[in-house]
Amino acid sequence: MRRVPEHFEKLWQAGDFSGPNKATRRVTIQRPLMRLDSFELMTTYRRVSAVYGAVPSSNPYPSGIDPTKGERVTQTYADYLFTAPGAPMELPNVSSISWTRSVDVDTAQATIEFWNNQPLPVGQRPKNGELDQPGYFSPGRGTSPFSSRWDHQPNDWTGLLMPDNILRTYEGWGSDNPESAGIGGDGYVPPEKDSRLVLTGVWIIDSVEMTALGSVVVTARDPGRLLLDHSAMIPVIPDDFYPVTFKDWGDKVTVLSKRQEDYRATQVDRVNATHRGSGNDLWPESAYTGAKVYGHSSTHALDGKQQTYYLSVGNPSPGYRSAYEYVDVNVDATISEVRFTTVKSGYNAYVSIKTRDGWVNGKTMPYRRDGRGRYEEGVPYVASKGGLKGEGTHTISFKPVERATMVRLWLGNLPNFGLPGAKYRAGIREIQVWGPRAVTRKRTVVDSNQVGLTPGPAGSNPGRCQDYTDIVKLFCAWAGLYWPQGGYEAMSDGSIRALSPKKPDRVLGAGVQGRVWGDFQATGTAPVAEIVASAFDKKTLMDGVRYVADILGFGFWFDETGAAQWRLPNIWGRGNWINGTASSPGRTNEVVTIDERKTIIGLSATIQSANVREGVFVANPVGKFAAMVPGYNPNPTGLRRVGGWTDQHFESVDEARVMADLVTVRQLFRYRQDRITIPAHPAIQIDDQVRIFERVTSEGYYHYVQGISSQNDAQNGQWTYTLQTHWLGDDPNGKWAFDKSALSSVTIAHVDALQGGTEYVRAGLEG
Amino acid sequence: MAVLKWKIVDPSDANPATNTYNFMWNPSEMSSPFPERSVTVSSAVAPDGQSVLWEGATQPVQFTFRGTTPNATQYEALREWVYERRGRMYLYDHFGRRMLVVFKKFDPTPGAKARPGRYWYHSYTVTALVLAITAPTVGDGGYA
Repeated sequence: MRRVPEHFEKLWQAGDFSGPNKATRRVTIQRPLMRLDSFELMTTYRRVSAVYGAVPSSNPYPSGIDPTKGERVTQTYADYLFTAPGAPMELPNVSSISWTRSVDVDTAQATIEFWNNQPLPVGQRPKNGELDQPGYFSPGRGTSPFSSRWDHQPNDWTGLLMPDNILRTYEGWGSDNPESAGIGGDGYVPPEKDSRLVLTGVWIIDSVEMTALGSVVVTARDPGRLLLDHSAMIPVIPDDFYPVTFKDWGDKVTVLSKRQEDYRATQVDRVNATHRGSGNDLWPESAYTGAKVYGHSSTHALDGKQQTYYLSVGNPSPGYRSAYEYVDVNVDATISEVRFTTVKSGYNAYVSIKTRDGWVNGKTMPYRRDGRGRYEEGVPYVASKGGLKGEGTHTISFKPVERATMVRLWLGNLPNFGLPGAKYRAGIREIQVWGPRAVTRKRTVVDSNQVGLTPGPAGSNPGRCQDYTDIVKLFCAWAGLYWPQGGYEAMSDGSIRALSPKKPDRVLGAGVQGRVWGDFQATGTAPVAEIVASAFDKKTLMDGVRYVADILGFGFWFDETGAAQWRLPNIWGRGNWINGTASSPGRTNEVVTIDERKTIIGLSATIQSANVREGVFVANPVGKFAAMVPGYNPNPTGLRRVGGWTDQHFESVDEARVMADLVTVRQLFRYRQDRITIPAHPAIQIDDQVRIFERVTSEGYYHYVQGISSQNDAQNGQWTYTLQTHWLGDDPNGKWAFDKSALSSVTIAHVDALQGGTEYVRAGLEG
Repeated sequence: MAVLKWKIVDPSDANPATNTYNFMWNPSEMSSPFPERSVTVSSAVAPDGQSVLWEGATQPVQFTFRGTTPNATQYEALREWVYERRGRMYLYDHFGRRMLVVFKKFDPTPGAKARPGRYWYHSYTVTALVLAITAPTVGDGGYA
């Protein structure tokens, strides 16, 4: 809803648009020049190239982000509206202005017709048989190689009426500009200062159709065209922000850090082992026939020399249970290994250990005297190893034994040494005893931490945003809707009106001294999962905005001042939004009443059931999260129409319920739609609510204004609005126009949460 | 009481000798030089709905005056002023009103009986568009 001068409402109610109050239409044209403002900004994090396959220690930021420090980025915003080098000029001979704007289309569209003929000033003699100067406003006049054919000279309009230039339309009832002043004459009041008019559109010319008979038809669209013309790619998107992605700041990134630490380790060291004896010692009588006769002693197993070795007494058969030989060594330590080398191979080895408390428990040695042996029976062993191959070092490990005092190394399955007497003996070259030792060592440790990012402005932090609305602002600023500090509006009398934002928008980046021309409602939410580049890349910026709008159910359009309007559609509560340039913008309970006795000059109401469903279900594809709600039908005839929607993104029953409720509300709205023709009333805007009273169609409901078509014709003086509306439900006396109780509490909470605040920084700029 | 003579002045002709056509005889008839306001009415749709008045751009009035030319000189001069001089002209009538006009048509009809010396006696009708008109300078008392 727009604040307009008081006389608009009075005249609208009185219905007398004649004489000094007749419909007026004025148009200015201006050649813009896109200005690009670049800013060197600092991010709150630093992007790190991911090196695939790199070991973690070489890349402390495997997430690709260093959250500890920022980096410089260059941001560039585009201004198409506020710093044009030339002043606008008022276009004469306007015969009609018509425009259409709707919440359902990307851009509003205008058609302006005027006569391409400039009257000769009285007293000037016509040339070439022409009464006046037809073609005076043609953009190529006087500049072509063949202009001399008609003696055409360039004029102020040469090159002006061309595509991409900007038109502004001013419409109203009556005019402050005296007829005698014409355009630019004495007492001239430019349209920008004409208190009887209001700005009804800022338009970018699409086409100029000129006829030989002197008419010109200009078609144009509102600044939404800037978002359709520009795509999400370089150079519109600054290098540092391309490709465009967005996500919120809620995630954490992995940071790896290295440090040195001491740790306790166990090292196996050789312990001091001394000779104690062997089984041979129990066979003194054999000294001459036993090992010793061949020059071997058990001390040889501990002399550190591989050339000498211990040789046992002989056994007649390796299969005897008495055929085991051993060597004992003294130790005084904790031990865990016995390493030894043998003469010949194939032995079975056993380790028995004694502490001050006696033998350490274990399985019992298979040794038996059997009338032939002399060794101790029943000795336990702690470890063994069979079938030793080769004469290399053999190691028998066992659980550490503390305070060991003696180790006995048994050998069985004795080989044939081929010596006289009993042939089967044990030969041991060396025995070593090893034990564990606690040591302190240093090692490098890589710590993995999940670190949160420091939120910053979307405009200086590529890929991040704090609110979905940030995305829309950036797209607008990149497209050409940047509103710089120092912006101005040049008027067609040559004067300048400062039009500078009162304070910068931090979303665009710390240090950016500007805003986006528009009113933006915060959504209070941001994308948790990244919106990936494919959602935007090389598509139009309008596609990007629509993508976000569809996620949220938000509306996006442009108002009469060419400013972006981003908000939740005005369907959730009674009242209207006062336009952002009003002195006190914001919410109001005011609703324009359109009365059959005063202002309705045409109305058709249509009720239809095309969208009616008796039931609406919403679910995820496998039906895990599903909701079904009754649809709206004031004429229940037993039909059983069910509409449904499945989507993989639903993650709870509540979410499905919200969506089902929203679908039923939309169906309700489509049930009754009006098309109303009224004398134009610029206070009414799209996304407004109006109340309509008309007896024949039993119309008395609140309606939502989806679209407005304006026709302002100089010939018949009629300036009308045709409103395309849908009702807001059958409860005009309730706080909500539809039955709010039909919605679930989660749906109401969802809607309330989306209605964030709007920062009205354009307040007071109207007129 | 004298009657103010009609005349046509070509503002694009700076030569005083040629920039004025003086009527020897004033026209005998003239239509209204005042345009019709372009007012239309719509009605609000209720049975007791109010009328909605619209006023469009006022169209230049098509103005005619009739008279007679006594001789060939007057005849030819008037024809030339209507057809040869194409720009906007000032037409002064006997009320002292100055009309900014664009001539469209000179429609002469020869007299039924040519009298001696008045072989080119014609009655005529001139059609013009009146673009603007000033207030009269002659009151009820006429032109002194």
